[in-house]
Amino acid sequence: MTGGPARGLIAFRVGATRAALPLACVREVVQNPGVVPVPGSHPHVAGVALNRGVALPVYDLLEFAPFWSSPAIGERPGGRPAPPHLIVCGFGEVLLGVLGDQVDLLEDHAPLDDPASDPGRVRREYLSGLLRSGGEVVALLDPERLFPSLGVPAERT
Amino acid sequence: MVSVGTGRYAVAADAVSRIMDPAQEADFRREAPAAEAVCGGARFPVVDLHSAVGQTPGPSCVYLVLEGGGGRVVVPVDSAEAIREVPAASIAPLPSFIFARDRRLFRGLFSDGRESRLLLDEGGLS
Repeated sequence: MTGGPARGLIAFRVGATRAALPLACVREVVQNPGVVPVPGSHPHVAGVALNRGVALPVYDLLEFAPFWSSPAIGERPGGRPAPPHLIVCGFGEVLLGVLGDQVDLLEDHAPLDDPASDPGRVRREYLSGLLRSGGEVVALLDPERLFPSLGVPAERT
Repeated sequence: MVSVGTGRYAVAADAVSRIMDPAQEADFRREAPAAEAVCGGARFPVVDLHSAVGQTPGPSCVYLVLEGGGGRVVVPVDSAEAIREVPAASIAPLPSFIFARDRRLFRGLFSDGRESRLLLDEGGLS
């Protein structure tokens, strides 16, 4: 999945939270990506996945504690596999993957301009806004804030 | 290719200077408090790969003597299974920023049939 409208969004589910990323930073969406856990990596690194000859770092936002205002208790019950989709994003020169469920283009949405709007459990510092779509609040993630917080450098190391 | 618990990993064959089987080495012994192995009068630091990857050792182990960047280390594995030719260009380096510590156990990833396999970083072990 590449290209699309310049201001398009891709929506996905992280646990119970509906989130979205700007389509401009998304390179493709991979189904059942075959993530290999890497011992010694950060807890929010689900592992790496081979993608076009590159070892793509794969991030699980449910495991990234600073992203949440309260613990993600029960959002991925024991034994349930990781989300089946990998959203491959570009951040500067670096490619990374974000795990997500129910990935789809977000075509019908409206901004929630009320500053008192509840972002749910996601911390506002990682958001560039809140949207409403299909009766549900969608947290619009800010890649410029989120990806560096995950430890992703904009330049290859 | 080696197995560690239920996991399979790759070790660069040219980094393996010796494979020791305790059942065949009369003077082999592990000194647990110092995390060392002694064989033929030589002492080797032991890297506990089972613990690092969250596995428990099987009933028998073989010990790989690896030549790393800073010297020799011994790595117990459950078995050393096969030698496979993997072109260097097929090994994707792991991004350094995913690691929680400077010392890392793995350095690469490559396709091994239907699965992807991690390559041990012999230089980071010693």
